[in-house]
Amino acid sequence: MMDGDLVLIIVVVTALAFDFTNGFHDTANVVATSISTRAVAPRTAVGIAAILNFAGAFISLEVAATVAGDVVREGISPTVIYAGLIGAISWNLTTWWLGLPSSSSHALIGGVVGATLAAAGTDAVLGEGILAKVLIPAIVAPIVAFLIGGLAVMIAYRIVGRLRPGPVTRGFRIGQLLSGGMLALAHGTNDAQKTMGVILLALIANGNLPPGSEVPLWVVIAAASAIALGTYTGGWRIIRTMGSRVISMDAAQGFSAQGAGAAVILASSHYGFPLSTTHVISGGVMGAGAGKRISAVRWGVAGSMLVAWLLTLPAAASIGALAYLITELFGDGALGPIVISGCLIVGLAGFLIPRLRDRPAIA
Amino acid sequence: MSPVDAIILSASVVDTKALLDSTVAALVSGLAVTVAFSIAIYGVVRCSDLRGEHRPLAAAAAAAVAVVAGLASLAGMALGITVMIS
Repeated sequence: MMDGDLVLIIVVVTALAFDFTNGFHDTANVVATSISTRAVAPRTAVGIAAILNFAGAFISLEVAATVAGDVVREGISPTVIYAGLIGAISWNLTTWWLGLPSSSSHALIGGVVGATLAAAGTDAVLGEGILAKVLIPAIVAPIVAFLIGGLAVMIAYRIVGRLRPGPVTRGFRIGQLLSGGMLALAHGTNDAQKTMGVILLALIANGNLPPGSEVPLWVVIAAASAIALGTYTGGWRIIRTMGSRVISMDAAQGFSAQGAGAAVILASSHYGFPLSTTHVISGGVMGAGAGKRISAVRWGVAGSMLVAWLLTLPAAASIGALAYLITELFGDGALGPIVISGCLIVGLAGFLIPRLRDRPAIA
Repeated sequence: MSPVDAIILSASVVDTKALLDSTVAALVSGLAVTVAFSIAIYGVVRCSDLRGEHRPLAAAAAAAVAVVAGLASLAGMALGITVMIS
């Protein structure tokens, strides 16, 4: 086997590992509102989300095209992509451990950009593409979700406010099955595609596919499976933050927040914007809280989340750049990625895996 | 770079139409589905209350409202998926 092919295999496996952490990390985005309003039992919610994440990955490939073509120049080496993925995975696991719902998407893009800067300088980074397709939508989308969540819950209260609360709550809980399903589908659509885009970039960089190629079916199936498996495993720490620490939610708020998130993500995926689903659903949750009463939102928790959001791009970029510089010490071949992967796996086995037994607290 | 320069640069590289279209689509669909579903809940609860008050015609009207609004919210969700696939 050629050294380049071995690096490619490591990149694909690492990309799927990132996709797993993406699903694991972002489970909260999809299920926290349904669980905290007791619309669905935790395990059932996570199971449904995993299935719909898998299905959602097959709906569109616009975002994959953006990640593969509009962030860094085609032709960067698979080792650079590998280093970027290490940056993204490291940041995802760190924020998961802290219980902060930061953006897996921005971690991925930050990691790849940081590694590319370290390897090839600023010329290899497509600044306009990042600004147009990543940064501006990253600012606009949570604000839109906040507005939709807030307006939706105000209208909902206006319509059902004078009715008996029991049947209304039951009605919105049923609605949450639908809105939560839509959100899971939207999440699979937008997030699984980012991994597809990275694998496509690596396949082009290694010469397995010509520039401008479409995503192969095996990549779609592999990415869909990895994110679904990660979602099913569930990141309960972040579920707690999203489900009960930002606002104390009722069923109407949960329905509005999920509907806002799904609407923004589906619309943006259609136009190829690789959004942070975390930021969007957080915006929807805060909007649904503020729509009832501004003071209903725990702004201190929201502030911590904002700090994590702001840190994600530079932190993942720094780790990605560092990972690239370390791989470079071992030459151009597969030795660097093998050493880093080995260290990461040993570190995970020793520190994180025992803590994955963290059980659902919102039952 | 001054804030004004940053805004000018952003405006020159961002596909404003796509961004605006996706924002409007999200706003309209998100609100429409919530309104339709809330009306459906209103119809169901009112239908139950009116039946308890022995007002069958009014209860039937409330049930009709619930069915139409429920179907409208389902149609909105289906439309969202269809737009994604297209």
